[in-house]
Amino acid sequence: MKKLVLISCCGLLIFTGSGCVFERVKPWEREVLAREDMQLEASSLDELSNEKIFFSKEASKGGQSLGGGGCGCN
Amino acid sequence: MQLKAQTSMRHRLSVATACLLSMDGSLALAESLADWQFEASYMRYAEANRITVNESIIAAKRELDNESIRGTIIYDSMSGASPNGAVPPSDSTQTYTSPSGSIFQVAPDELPADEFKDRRTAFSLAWSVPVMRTVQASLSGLYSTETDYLSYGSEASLAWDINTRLTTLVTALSANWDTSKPIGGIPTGFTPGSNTDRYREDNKFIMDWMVGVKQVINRRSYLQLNYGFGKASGYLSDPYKVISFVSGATGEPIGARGYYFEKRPDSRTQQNLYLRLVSHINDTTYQLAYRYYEDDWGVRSHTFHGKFIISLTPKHVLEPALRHYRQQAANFYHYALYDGPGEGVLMKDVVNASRGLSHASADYRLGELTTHTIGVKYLYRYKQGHIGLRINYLRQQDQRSLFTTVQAWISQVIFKLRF
Repeated sequence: MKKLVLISCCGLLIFTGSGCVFERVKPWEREVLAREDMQLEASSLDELSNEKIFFSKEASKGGQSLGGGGCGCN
Repeated sequence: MQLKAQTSMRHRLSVATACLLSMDGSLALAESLADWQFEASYMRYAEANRITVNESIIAAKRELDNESIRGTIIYDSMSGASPNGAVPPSDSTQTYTSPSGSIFQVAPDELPADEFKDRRTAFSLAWSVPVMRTVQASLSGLYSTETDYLSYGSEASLAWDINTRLTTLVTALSANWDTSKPIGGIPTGFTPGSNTDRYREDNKFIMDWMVGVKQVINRRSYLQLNYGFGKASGYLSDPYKVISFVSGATGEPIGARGYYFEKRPDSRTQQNLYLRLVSHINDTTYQLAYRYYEDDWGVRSHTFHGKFIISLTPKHVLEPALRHYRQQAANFYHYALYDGPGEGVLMKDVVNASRGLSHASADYRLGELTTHTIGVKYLYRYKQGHIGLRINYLRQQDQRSLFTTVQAWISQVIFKLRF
């Protein structure tokens, strides 16, 4: 478990500190990033249903959102 | 058309750019003017010869400036036969008593499964508000009730945009207080199937925390990385699951009630790491995700998920998706308990838990298994929303081929309207 915490911290630091590696996209160049199909859709209804199905049928949870819970299905 | 200056300024600036530069301008502009958003779906999950779930969801969201409130109502009806964890007998008829008090018999070569019917209703309310120019906070509450289960939950999250909004830092914390109250009561773990002693209910507390970052890579792509930590404590066993007590020589259940009620640890610590790449190339958005999960029950899993959002035209969208999941078994998962040398665990350790085996479960969902899911969603987009249908096929296999493969069809109709 400590290895997973260490890997996660390194990943987060690399992400946040890598401004020189990623392209500096100007605000007027973000039309593609603003598309509806590019948004994070953790709260969309089919994602909610999927999250519950996999939480009920498997022993894992979490990922895109906190996920799981609220039922006696696992 | 007059813009409403008060609503979601940040979002309006981005879609205004889309209006000027994109063929999808009319759809994006309609989205920017909406104050209300209404969603509904009906989902049917059906396993072959087992469980069927019908789920209806309604959600309404109101936006004002950068603040929003979203209410959701979920109604599930579940029925069918759920395997109780016992092994199919080959020679003799076995008798089981479920915690609901019903007695059922299982013929030779028949999979022991408990018939059930239940309803679940859940309500949630989420409030999102900017606390600083670049920080958005959200608070939500959940209430869920079933015949035999009750849950109260709450969640708080913060999203902080930095680096001219090319980077978003997210953190979220949730807590759930659950009560398991099966009809007929909860059996004490590791007591034999003939034991009729029960106690009324027991509680569980679950805490989850997540920290993550979303980073724009270029004009068309971004990466998301999340780390999640969770801790559960209290009654974590399944009151409906049993584990067979079988002869080491024949594999047959010993006696007419050859089983024990399962017992799981009363705490569980979990972690997961999630990485997702989202990229738009030509008319398709690609979403590729990977999740690693582990906990102190010994479960390890890897999940690969790919989704491809193909805009056939501005109004017609096709979304094929596939998912591969592989799980390593919990360290107290056993197919059965044996009374002598051979595959499995010696029965005497169960009779006196202080001398050895403390926990055991034959719930196949804790076993070594693989799940494959494949499907497609079709969306028709109109100016104020969309309507769609998705169909998925799920196949779950026990890697040791001891439990029957689970096959299920998932179909769902979804609807969204902004006004």
